[in-house]
Amino acid sequence: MQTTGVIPTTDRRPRSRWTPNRRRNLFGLLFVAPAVIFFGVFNLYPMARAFYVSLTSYDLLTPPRFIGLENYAYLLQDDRFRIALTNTFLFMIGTTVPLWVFSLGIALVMARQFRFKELYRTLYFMPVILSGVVVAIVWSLLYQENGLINTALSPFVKGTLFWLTSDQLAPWSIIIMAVWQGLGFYMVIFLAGLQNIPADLYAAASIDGANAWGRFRYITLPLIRPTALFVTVISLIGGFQTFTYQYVMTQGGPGDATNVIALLIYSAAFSYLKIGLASAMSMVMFAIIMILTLIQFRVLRTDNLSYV
Amino acid sequence: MSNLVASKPAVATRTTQRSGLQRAVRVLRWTVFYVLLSAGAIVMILPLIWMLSASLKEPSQIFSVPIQWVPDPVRWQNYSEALSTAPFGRYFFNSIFIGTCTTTSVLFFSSLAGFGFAKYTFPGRNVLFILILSTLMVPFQVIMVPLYLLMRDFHWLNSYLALIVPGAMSAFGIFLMRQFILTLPDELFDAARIDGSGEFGTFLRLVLPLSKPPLAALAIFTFLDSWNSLLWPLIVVNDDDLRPLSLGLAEFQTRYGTSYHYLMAASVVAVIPVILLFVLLQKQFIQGIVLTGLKS
Amino acid sequence: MEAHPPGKVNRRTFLAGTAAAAGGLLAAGVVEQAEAAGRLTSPVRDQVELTFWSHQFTPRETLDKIHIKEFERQNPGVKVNYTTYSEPGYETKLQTAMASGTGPDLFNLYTGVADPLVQGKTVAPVDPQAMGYASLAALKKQYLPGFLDGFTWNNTLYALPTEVSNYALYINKLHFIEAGLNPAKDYPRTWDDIVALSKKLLIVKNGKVLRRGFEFEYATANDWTGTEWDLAGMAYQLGGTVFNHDQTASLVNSPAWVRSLKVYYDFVHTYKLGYPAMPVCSVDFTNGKQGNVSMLLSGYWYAPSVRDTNKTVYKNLMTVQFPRFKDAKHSNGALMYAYAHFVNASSSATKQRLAWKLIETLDSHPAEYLAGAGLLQPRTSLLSSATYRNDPLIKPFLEDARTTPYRPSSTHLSEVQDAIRRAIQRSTQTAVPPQQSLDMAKADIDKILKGV
Repeated sequence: MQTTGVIPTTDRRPRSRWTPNRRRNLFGLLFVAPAVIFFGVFNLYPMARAFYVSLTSYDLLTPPRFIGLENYAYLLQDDRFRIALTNTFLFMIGTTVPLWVFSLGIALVMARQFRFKELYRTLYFMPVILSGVVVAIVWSLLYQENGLINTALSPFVKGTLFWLTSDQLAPWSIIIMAVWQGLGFYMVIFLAGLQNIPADLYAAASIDGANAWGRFRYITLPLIRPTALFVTVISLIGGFQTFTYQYVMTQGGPGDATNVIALLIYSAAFSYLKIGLASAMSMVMFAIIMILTLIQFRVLRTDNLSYV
Repeated sequence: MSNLVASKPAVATRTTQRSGLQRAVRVLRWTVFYVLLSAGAIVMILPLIWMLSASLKEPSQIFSVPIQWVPDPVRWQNYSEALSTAPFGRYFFNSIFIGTCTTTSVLFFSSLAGFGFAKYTFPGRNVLFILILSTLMVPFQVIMVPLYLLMRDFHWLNSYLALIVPGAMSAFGIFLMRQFILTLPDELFDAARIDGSGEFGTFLRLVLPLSKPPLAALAIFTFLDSWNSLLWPLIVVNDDDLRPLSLGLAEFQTRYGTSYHYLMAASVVAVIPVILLFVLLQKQFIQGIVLTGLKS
Repeated sequence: MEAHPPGKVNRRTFLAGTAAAAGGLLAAGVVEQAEAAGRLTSPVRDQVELTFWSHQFTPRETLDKIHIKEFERQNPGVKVNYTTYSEPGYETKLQTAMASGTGPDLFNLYTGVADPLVQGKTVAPVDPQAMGYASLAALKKQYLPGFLDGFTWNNTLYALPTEVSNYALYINKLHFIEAGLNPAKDYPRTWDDIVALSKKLLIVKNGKVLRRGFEFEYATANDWTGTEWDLAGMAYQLGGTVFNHDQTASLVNSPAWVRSLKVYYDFVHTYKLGYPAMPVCSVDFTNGKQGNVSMLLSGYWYAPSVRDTNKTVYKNLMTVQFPRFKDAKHSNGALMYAYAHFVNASSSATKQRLAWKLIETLDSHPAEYLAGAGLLQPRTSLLSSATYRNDPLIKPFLEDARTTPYRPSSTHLSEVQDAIRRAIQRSTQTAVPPQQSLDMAKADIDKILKGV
C-alpha cells in the first residue's frame, strides 16, 4: 500500500472515500474485530442471557418458565444466600488485610540488599505457582487431628484444634492457607512499586533527620498508593470468586460455615438444577463487585502523584 | 531503595573507631534478621517438604507423632501404585495441550487487538476498548452457566473445544499489549510503511519481536491460569481422558482421599514440573508480574 | 524490510496469518475429531458403541466388567464404554449430562434422585421385548412381588433394580472377646446399649484413641451419603417422618427427630465417645491389623469390601439388626434405598434396545452379585441360591427390610438430603443443639419444597 507523498494526478479513478489513511485505519478495525466478536459471543451474550435466565425458573430438562423477579425475592429472604455472602466477605477481607500487611512487610525487607536475597525471594514465592487443588489437598492433611499443625502447636495449645470441622475455625483455616499461597505474589508486586520510588527521596529525608518509620510513613506509603490500589482490587475481586479451596477442602461445611457464593452458585446450578436461581445469584454477585470496585477507586483514588 | 542501607556505611565508619560493642550489636541485628527471615521462609516451604516426605511413607506412618521427616522405610511404590490407578500422564498431556493452545491464541490475538487499539484510529475505537476492558469486572460465575448452555448448544460439551475456546482471548492481555505498544514510537511504524511493509506485515515483523517482554509475561500468566483452573473443567468435562491435571487430582482425592500416601505422591507428581519450570524461568516469572503491576 | 507489491498480498498475508493463528483453536477441534473417530475405529462395520455410567464400587465393577465382556462376545459389533464415577459428584455429573443431552446410553443410579430425570422425560420405559421377554408380565415374574413398585413412575416401569439395600450393624467379634464380652449374648439391641458397649470397647493410650467402640457417619466433606437416612430410620422408629403427608412441609424438627439427633450429639459431645473430625473411611474395620472400630452401621455390600481387604476381620464379623429405641413405636431399620439401571430416551432406537439387552445380561446373575459384591437384587431366582440361604451375615438385613419403609421420593431429594446432612454436621461437628439444628433444617426444606 503506497502511502508516501502525493497521489499522481494521472490517476483517473474518482477520488474515493478510502483515503490511504482511512484504508490503513480500517486494518485497525480488522485487527480488533476477532477480539470484539469473541467477547461479544463468549462474554456479552452470556451476560445478557444470564440476566434473562435469572428471570426464569429453569431446570435444564424442561424449557425455561418466566417468573419475573421471583428468584430475587427468594434470595432476599434466603438464609443460605445471606450466609454465603457473609462468608465470602469474611474471606475477602480476611485474606486481603493480612496479605496487604505481610506482603508489604516482606517486600520492604526484600528491597534491601543482603546475601542470599535471590534464594529467599524464590522461597517466599514458591507457593504462588502451585495449583490451588494441590495446596488445598496438602493443607487438609496438615489440618488433620494428628497433622503437622496440631503437632507443632501441641506444646502451646491445650486440647485438639479441629481446623476443618469447627464452624468457628474452618473459615480461618482456609484464610490462613490462602494468605500462605498469596503472599509471594503480592510481595513481588509491592517490590515493583517500591522500586519505582527514587532513592534520592529517601536520602533527602535522611538528611532532614527522618527515621525509618518517618521515611516509611511520609514517602513509602503515599508513593505506593497506585500499587496498593492494584493489590487491594485484585485481592478483593479474586477473593470474592474463591471456589477451589472450599470445593476441595470442606464442600462448604461444616453446616454452611465455609459456603461461599461461588460454591453456592455451582451447587444451585449443577447439583440442584436451579439454573434460574443460580443466574439470579450471579447477577447479585456482579452488582456487588461493581459497587465494590467503584468504592475502591473513589477511596484510593490517586491523582497527580508524580514524584520525579 | 538501597538508600535504606546507604546510611549504614556512614555509621559504620564512625563505629570502627569505637568499641567492638557496636559491631556486636550489628552482628546481632543481622542474625536476628536472618533468623526471622528464615523462619518465614521455612513456613512457606514446610508444607511442600511435608508433602514430599509423606509421599514416601507407609500410610500408617504419615500421622505418626513425633514427626519423622525422613521416611523409614522409603516407599517408592507409592508413586508407581498411585500413578497406575489414574491416568496422570493423560491428565498432564491434557493440561499441557489446553494450556499451550490457549496461550498461543491469547498471545496472538491480544497483540493483534492491542496493536489495533494502540496504533490505529477508527470510529468506535475507544468504546470498543472500554467495552472489552469492562468484561474484566465480570466475575466468572456470572457467565459460567450461560457459557455452559452455549457449549451445550454448540455441542462442544465434553470436548477440547469447550476447554480451550472460551479462554482463547483475554481482555487483560489486550490491555497489557495495548499499553505496551502505545510506548513504541510512531516513527518506527512510519518507517516500516515507507519501506512498503503491509499492516499485517508490520504486525508480524515489527510489533511481535519488539513485544517480547509483555508477551513473555502474558504467556506465563495465561499458561498458569489455564493450568490451575478447576471450576470450568469441572462443569464441562465428563470423560476421564479429557480431564486436565487439576480436575484429575480433585477426582483422585474424592476417590482415594483416605489413601494419603497415594494422594501425596500424586500431588508431588503434579507439582514437580511446575517447580522445575519456575526455578528455570524465575527471572521471567517475576519480571512478568512486575511488568503487569507497573502497567496497571 | 523487503518491498512488497501493494494491495492484495497484504490481504492475503493477513488472512493467512489469521488462519494460521486460528490453527491453535482448530488444533483443538482436529484432535477432538480424531478422538471421536478413534473411539469408533474398528475393522467391523456397523460398530455400535454403548456408553454405560455407574457409581464407583469396586466389587460391583469387577462383576460388571465380566458380564460386559460376555455381552460383547454375544453381540459382535457392539462395544461397551463403561465408566465409573465416585460419589458424591456422580449424581450431579449424570444429572447435568442428561439435562444437556450428553448423557450416557444407560446408567446405574440411586433412585432417590431419579425423579427429575423421569419427569423430564429423559429416560425410557422398560422394553421387555428387547430383553428377551414376551411381555411385561413375563419380565415382572422374574422379580419378587411388590419390589418393582419402587421403580415405577406414573404407572410405567422405568428402571430395573441393581440393588435394594439398607444398613445394619456390623460387629467385630475379636474386639468383643478382647473386652471380655460375649458377642452372641452381649450385642447391642438399643441405642443405649451402643453407648454402654462403646464405653467398654474404647481404648485410649497416652491420650491417643486407638480404638473406638462405635462411630456414626458425620457427613464430613467427601463422605458418601447414608447417615441422613440412618437418622431418618431412627426418627421413624419414634414415629417421625421427613415430610408431611402431601409433601408440602417438612417435619424434621419433630420430637422424634430431635431425640434421634440427640443420640448423635450425646455420643460426640456428652459421652465423648465419637470423633466427628475423622473422615468415615479411616475409622474402619480394615484399618490396621484388626481395624480401629468395633461396631459400624453399613450396607450388606460392605462385607465383600472387608473380605477383600482384611481376611482376619472378615472371618470374625457378625451382623445384627439396626439398633432400636427401647420405646420405639415401629420396629424398623435405616430407611431402604435402591439403585437401578436406566436407559437414555434420547439414544437411538438401536442403542436403546441394545442397552436393555445389556441390562438383562447384567441383572440375570443375582447370586453372583450377592456373593461377590453384597448387592441384593430382588429377583426370584435369588431365593433359591445358596448365598441367600446360607450367608449368616445377610439375615439381619433381610429381617429389617421386611419392616422398613423406603426413603421418601421427591423431585428435590438431593437438596432435602443435603439439608439433613447439614443439620447433622451442625450438631456433631459444631455442637449446635439438635432442636436448633433441626429447626434450621426444617426451614431449609420447607423453602425447598415451595420451590422457585
